[in-house]
Amino acid sequence: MAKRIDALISSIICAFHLYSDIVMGVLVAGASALLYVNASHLKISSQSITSLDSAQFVPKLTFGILIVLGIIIALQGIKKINANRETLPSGDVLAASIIGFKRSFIAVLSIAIFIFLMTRLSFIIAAIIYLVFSMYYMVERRGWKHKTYFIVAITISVSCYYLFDRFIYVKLPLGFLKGVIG
Amino acid sequence: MTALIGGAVALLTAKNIILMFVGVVVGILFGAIPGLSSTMAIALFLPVTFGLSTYESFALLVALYIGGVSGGLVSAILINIPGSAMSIATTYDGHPMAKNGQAHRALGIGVMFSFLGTVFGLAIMIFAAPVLASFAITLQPFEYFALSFMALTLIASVSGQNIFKGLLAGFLGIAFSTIGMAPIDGVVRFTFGNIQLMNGFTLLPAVIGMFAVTEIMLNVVKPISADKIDQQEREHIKGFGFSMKEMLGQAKNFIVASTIGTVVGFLPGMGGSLANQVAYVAVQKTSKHPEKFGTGIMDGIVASESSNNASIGGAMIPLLALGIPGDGPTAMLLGAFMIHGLVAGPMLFKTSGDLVYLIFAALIICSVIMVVVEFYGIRLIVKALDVPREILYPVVITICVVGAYATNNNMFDVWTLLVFGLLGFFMAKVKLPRACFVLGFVLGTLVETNLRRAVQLSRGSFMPFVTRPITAVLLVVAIIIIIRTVWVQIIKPMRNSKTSKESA
Repeated sequence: MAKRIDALISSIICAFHLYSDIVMGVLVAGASALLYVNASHLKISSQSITSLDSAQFVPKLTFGILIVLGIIIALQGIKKINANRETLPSGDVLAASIIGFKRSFIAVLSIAIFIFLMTRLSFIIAAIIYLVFSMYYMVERRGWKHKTYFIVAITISVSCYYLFDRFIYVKLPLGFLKGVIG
Repeated sequence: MTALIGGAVALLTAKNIILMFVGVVVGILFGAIPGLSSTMAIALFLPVTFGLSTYESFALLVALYIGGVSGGLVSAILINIPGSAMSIATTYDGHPMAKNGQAHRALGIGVMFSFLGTVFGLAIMIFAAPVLASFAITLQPFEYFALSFMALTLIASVSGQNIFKGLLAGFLGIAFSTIGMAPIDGVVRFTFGNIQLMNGFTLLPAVIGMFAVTEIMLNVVKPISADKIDQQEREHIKGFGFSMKEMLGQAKNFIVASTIGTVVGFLPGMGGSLANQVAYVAVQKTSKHPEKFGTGIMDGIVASESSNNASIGGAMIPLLALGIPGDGPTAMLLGAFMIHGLVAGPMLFKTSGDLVYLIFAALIICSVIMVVVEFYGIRLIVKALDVPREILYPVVITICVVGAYATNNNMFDVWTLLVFGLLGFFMAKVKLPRACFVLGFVLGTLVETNLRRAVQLSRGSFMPFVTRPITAVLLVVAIIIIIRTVWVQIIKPMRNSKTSKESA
């Protein structure tokens, strides 16, 4: 299973290395074309004096330019495919990239889960879970005492909540703790 | 001058000095922590000032402002995350220098030139305030449009190796800025039925996401050994970490950057967040060795830090003389001043001259306190490097999340943080410059609003863009920059590759 995941990640990394510019260019140009059409349907208010002075002008200009830039970058990407193929990561570099991919993925996912849990479990609990989890899995550890991680996590989470509540008058989400502590 | 000394004397009581000291320290902390801003620091202490006299509260509020503007350099240099938008350009050279094992030197340069920049801006403010204030009344949307347009072209011209990618990033930023209600007529654009998007993406969470979250996502990959490089040189550096000779060598950069900072700070709506970027580019363009910028040289830090602090002096002019705040923190200050009975506006210098000079004096005393705090605090600040990344990064993310939530008290801004973090991560992976994106995002709205205002004001005529001298000059400069960029970055390389092919 682990091997399969690694193989999948390495093929993603290689494909990204080869075709990232083309994909990005095409995506940007495509999305801009759709939004350009969307912009042409925007309401023009009666206040507008010339076509320059309407809600359509800046979006249309921007998306128009983005279509051109997207195509240019895709074409540049096609030109570079062969050069990219020569610098394709392999061996140790590829292994390091696979670890990097996993770590970045864990980092994003854990932040997303943290935000999701914030309104449900309360900021205090979600932050403690997030902090402890990330301290162990987000980066390579320098190896401080386990106790330290827990103390830091609890201190940061609780003090953030109370400092913001007392002094800045911002109530961070309490989730199911509502009524219990605040 | 007597009025200024009078203001200073009135401030020099033990209580005031303690208040200013506390204000500067808190300001620096708020400035240094990504996601917390000097605006927030002022907001936080506003209730505290209700129990103080007018003099005392002004001393405290000004101290928070000064500390907050300067504090951003600490995290910009140490962890490559600008504490506020005002110190984005500090990361370009400050962090590389810290990575080369000279964190102390980088901080020393930042602190010293922050101080000098503040003094420069204040000096100009005190002597030129009346003249500049009367001039500011004549500025119209035409000038604002031309200025923001020029700023946009300046940034695109230094977008790194591939000009098209820089432009793409910049226009993506503008595209994001069009989400929500259009300026002037309030037509709703690209919200796809989402009510939260009506006001567009909030700037603060977007910028924090793009710099803080992205930076951490990019850094989690690095092995432990990456932490250790800065250890060697720390012990034998004394003082600020640079010599008098080096400092004098920066005189030209300092004057260029501080002048830009003061002028940009003076223009309402611009402020230090734009000043540091424009000054960085200007110093790079006038430098004898522009290719060294971004590798960790002194000039880059000098440009960014002297300009953002010089913008304080500039921003105080329209704030006091016209009652127009230049940016977030000055808007908070204006509100705070009003609560204490100071009515800002053209009559202020006549009706409450003593308070004006008290504020001037407080600004100067606070910048002295700032340099003392940061000078002796550097040792403590550099210690922050010893905190292992496995603790630092999650804590930074947590504070960013709290900061994003606190901007508007809603969860949408927190998701904005994550979305822009992801966007920034992909942009970094496909080598799209993030700074260009953020500038497009900030300036997009300004350009559009002022363009439309200008067109409405002239009833659809374009003549004012040509006949108004300041507008015309700014637009000509913008066109020259575009032509030069096209020449240097597109036509020249094409010719070179053709000739090299022919010779081969």
